Amino acid sequence: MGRQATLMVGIARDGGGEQRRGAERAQSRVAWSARCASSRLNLDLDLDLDLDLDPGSFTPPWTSQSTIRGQSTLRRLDTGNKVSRRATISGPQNIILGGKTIISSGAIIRGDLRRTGPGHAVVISLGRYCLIGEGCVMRPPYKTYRGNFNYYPMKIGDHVHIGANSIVEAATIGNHVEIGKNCIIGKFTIIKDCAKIADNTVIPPNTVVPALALFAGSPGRFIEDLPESTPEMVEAQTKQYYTRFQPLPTER
Amino acid sequence: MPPIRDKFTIHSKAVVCQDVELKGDITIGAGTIVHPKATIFAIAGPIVIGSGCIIEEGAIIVNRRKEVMRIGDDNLFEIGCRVECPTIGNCNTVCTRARVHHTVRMSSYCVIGAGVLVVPTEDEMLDEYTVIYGPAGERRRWSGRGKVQEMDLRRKHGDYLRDMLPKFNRLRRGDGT
Repeated sequence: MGRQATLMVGIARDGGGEQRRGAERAQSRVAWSARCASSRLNLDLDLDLDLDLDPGSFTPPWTSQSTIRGQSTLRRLDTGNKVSRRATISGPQNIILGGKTIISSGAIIRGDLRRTGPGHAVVISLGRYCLIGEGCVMRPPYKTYRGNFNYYPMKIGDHVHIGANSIVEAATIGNHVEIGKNCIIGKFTIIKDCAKIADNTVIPPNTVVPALALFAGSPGRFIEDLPESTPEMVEAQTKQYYTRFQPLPTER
Repeated sequence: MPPIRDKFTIHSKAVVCQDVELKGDITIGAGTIVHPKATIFAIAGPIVIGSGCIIEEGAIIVNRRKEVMRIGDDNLFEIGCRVECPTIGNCNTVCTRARVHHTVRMSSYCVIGAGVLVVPTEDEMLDEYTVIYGPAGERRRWSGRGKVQEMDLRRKHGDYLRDMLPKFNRLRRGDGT
């Protein structure tokens, strides 16, 4: 099953309360948007498209099905990622979605900017119950280290919501993080657990946002501490968002 | 207004992704990299981009004037920026989501910070090493320290992208080939 250009959709996270490992730790794939120009050639769309829709009737604007790879008969796994067909995802083989993650239309995710070197490089890994808002750009940060230029992987925890039109070049984002609309998160930013970034914030490169902090402004500054109940609140919110989520019927 | 006639001249060593919106008379020099989802619009006059520039995703470069819009070498246009300057020198950086109006001309080594809006009412030429930053668009002069390192980073970035982008993205070629 060494096919390239499949979006890995698996529970490949270590640690965290909701992890499920073992048998379910399998990497599965999401049916793929035709807008994904970069890897259209390598895709075997037939595998994806005959999954949970009758052929020929209706092509859903959102792809909610994903399957486990690694067996001859495809088995459906309820990882439930929803990826808009209008999202641009380059290098999907380098992206891991944790499950129940929503990628909205117009989002750009750059999995092609990978670390040089041999082997399989994960560029962007997202946890469970994440939301990538409309028009967001997710791209890994780059720098030269000991004279060698490289892009470095971006890790995003569980229950992370990123508002519309934000640009994220962070190195690490913890769990239960909320990022508002129109934010600019600079290169190699580290956002710790349960932090919140207000709308229109510009976080300069190499910033560390501490846990349970609210950041706002340009440049982003500490505003106040968040209550200790934040993880539960955010968890409930993100879960509710996912269960109530309905794609626009007009969106194709 | 006459319809826009497309004419793309892309150097064989330039890397221009397929998913890029180009309109009008556009010349792209050697080693320039245009990421997917970037937009280059030559509405009135042509756009000439020099060598070694990097144009990231969501960047918009527009020429509304009749004259040729000349962009020099080794410029970096980051994610979601919008540039309408009639002339741009060399080694400039336009950071993420900055907007530069058509009344501004850029010389060399200028930096426009993230999210900055530069819209003077009268024509203006930015001096070399000008840095515009912050929500109010404050200005300073860069001492030029770290210039070599910065250019070295940009050159390596370009080399990396020239190597890597064609592996994952389909490329666009000029009219000639």
